[in-house]
Amino acid sequence: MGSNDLVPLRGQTPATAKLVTRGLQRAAQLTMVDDRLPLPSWDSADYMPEVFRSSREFERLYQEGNFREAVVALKSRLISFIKEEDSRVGEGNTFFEWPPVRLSEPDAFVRWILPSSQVPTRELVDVYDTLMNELPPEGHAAKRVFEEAFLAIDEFFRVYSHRRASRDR
Amino acid sequence: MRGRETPEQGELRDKQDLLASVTAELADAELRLASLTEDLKSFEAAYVRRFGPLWAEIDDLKAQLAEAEAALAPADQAKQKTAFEAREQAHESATAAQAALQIAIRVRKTDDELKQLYRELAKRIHPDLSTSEPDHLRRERLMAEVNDAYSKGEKERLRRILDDLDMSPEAVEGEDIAAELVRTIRRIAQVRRRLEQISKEIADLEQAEIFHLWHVCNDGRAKGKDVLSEMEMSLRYEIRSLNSDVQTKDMRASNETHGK
Repeated sequence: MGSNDLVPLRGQTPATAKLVTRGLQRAAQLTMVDDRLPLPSWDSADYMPEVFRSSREFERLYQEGNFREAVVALKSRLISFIKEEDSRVGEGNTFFEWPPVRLSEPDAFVRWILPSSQVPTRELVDVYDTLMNELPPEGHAAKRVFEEAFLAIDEFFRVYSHRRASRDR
Repeated sequence: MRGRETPEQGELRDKQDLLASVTAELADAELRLASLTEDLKSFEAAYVRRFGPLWAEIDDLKAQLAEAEAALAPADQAKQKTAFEAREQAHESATAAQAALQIAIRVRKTDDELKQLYRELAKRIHPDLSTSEPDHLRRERLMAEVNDAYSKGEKERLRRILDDLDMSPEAVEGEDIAAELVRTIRRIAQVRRRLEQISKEIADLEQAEIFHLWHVCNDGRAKGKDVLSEMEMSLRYEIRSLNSDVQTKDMRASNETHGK
């Protein structure tokens, strides 16, 4: 029987029926495991900081379907990157050629970058919040966290590097 | 001394055996229907209580975003309409979530004795075993009481109904063979009709979305997967993302205000 044949339970209120329909749709998404995104390769991405390029661990875990572990591994890379950047604040030798703002303080980061740039900062801050402040989720939720984090990080560095290169020319 | 069985006595015995067999089948079918109905009701109540507030929060955040978009473009009819519809949906979800909190969750405990009592009572008092209107009404009332007691797992109440039945005048047997034979044949026909009806009711339940959601969760559990917990995390993640979108919109609006 196809899902189009399904009906609300007799006596159910329309509002409850709608909640059940949405639950069923979400459950169907959660139980699909073979719809993994083709992720960009960071191996050859010259815009990507070395700390991300040097490890393929999180990609391998993702491809194997170990989404929770993939999130943990990506989080570990992001923490390494932030620590490295923060340790250089004031030295003028960071990936971003940073003004005195610490990456580990995302609010300050947003205040600095937002008025002057269209770089997709919010996505990176979301990624930061999600990876740092939540316990790693399970299953489909972990898969989604990983995909959004991976793509947001990629997009952020790609756009940022492109703008920096344009400025230098 | 017991005389030889007459043909009508033999026919009556055969029919009574057949009636006993279809009545047992009917009792099992009623039990399956009552159990499935109750399982789905309990699952639905638990689902709506757990997820109603999360869907309501998601819809409220989506409405906030749509309203913020609409506020930036007062002349854009499409955005105004989207914002209006999003707020309507948020109201509906909030009302459903509020109503869900009023639903008491029943954790039904079934065991073999409860099921056995139900089967026994269904065999004895099923309305489709009646042959007169007053008897049918009496059986219907009793069956409703049995279903209610079963859904609440009240074994004592079921035992009491069974004891009362044993003491009732209807428990006394012995009438002329011809009348009894006709009664038995009619009872068999009624039971078969009810069996068909139960099959249809179970098929209807199995076509309901809540049955499929329940089935997906049970299937997941069998494979070591907690679908409802994953769904909860997925919704909470969506709420975080939407919250972040709302805050960013507020921040942008504030920057634009200060910039003016």
